[in-house]
Amino acid sequence: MDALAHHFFNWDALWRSRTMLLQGAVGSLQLGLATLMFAPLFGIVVLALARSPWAPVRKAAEWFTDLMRAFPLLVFLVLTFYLLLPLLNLRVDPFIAAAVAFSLKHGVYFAEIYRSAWLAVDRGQFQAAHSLGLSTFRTIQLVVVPQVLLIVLPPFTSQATLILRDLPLAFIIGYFEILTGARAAQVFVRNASPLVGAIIAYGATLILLQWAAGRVEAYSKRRLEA
Amino acid sequence: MSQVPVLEMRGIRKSLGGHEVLHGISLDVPNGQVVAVVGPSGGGKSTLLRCINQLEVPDTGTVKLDGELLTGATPRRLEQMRARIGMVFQHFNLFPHLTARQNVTLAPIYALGLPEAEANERALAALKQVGLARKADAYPRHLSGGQQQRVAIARAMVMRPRLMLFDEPTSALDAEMVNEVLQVMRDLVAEGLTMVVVSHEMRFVRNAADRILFLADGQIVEDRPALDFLENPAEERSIQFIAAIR
Repeated sequence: MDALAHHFFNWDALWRSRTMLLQGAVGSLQLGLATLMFAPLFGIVVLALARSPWAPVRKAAEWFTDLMRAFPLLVFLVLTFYLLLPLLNLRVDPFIAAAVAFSLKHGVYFAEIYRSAWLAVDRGQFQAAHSLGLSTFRTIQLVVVPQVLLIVLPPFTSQATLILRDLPLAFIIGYFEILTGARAAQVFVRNASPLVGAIIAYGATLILLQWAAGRVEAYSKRRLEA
Repeated sequence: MSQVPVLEMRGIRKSLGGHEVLHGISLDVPNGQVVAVVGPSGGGKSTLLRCINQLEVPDTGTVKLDGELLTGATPRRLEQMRARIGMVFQHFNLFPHLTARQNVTLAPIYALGLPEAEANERALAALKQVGLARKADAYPRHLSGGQQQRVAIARAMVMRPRLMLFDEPTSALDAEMVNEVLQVMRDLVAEGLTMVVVSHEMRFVRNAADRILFLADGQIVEDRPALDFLENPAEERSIQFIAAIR
């Protein structure tokens, strides 16, 4: 029992690995925030392309979406790092590669979220707004977008949870995030406690986010009830 | 004064999904008249109503409001003319993210360009008219179906319309709420508003309508004074219809 505590729940070992763990946490946070910023934006681009009046563009967007869905994230990370970035003549850096890969991959899911939210707004809302003499622009601005935002909120939050869940995969291209940091610290202090600490911190964040997603969903549902 | 009808429709044809729903409808509604449109479902009643304010654009034919063409109007002009035609929907179609008051002030502010204070004043008057002044700050989800429909009527009335269109306004309501909505509509009739009403409430139609349009298979089968139609239907289909709803 003592050995178990010594190897897995050792405060001293945890304290000695604080710098590495912190660095890893900052790495995770940076990548998470970058993805949360660019993936939703990229989703708008994908949706715009998918609804383009030009058929080849629509087709390309469709293929891209299918491709992104089919590729495992791990494979796509490696592809981005060793193939895509060099091809695009971009600086080959694990952070950039991970941010690009995550944003592209999750972007297509955001596009899908927007698309279904738009469709979820009842057609009667457009008709009511038009019948009142509101212009199409005002209808979209005052009636449709506020509802789309409310509809988008829950899937948006759960997609954020999924992004967080995917972050550790960036280790494959040598990105330093919290679990990488913990594994390095584990070697350094020759004790598994940093890993346990990181897992608990990581798990707690995930559970917190999931709880938040549930609350957001309840809020959105309440606001949109007719 | 002028004898120009408020609403004038000529030769309206409309196909939906490859099937012609309206086969050339012509109709004049003079100022202050209440027209009830009745008939079997699928007969084109709703489509006819939607063709008036161009929610459905007719394939051929013309629609005029106060002598001015709605069909083929520029988008800007169409918006201005729609602002003068109120419409009440079967499923209310209130904006769920806005309070009752905001639902009612939206179009006065953004379609008519009224200052917010004036829009608010008008909205409160309209809500009072439908007996819901004290619910002004409630969201639609906190209102009963009957209350929601009354807010929807206030939302249309606040625009001071020349013409009101009602598309089965009580069909989605529980029985005990039908009367509160019909009462509001009777008040509007008493004010002399010009109205076109699609409704299955035959008691309301009998008491409130000046004229009945019996629409079946996309055609006007009968167009007669309300009581006359109800008591002496001439056509076979009207006789069957009246027998069925009795």
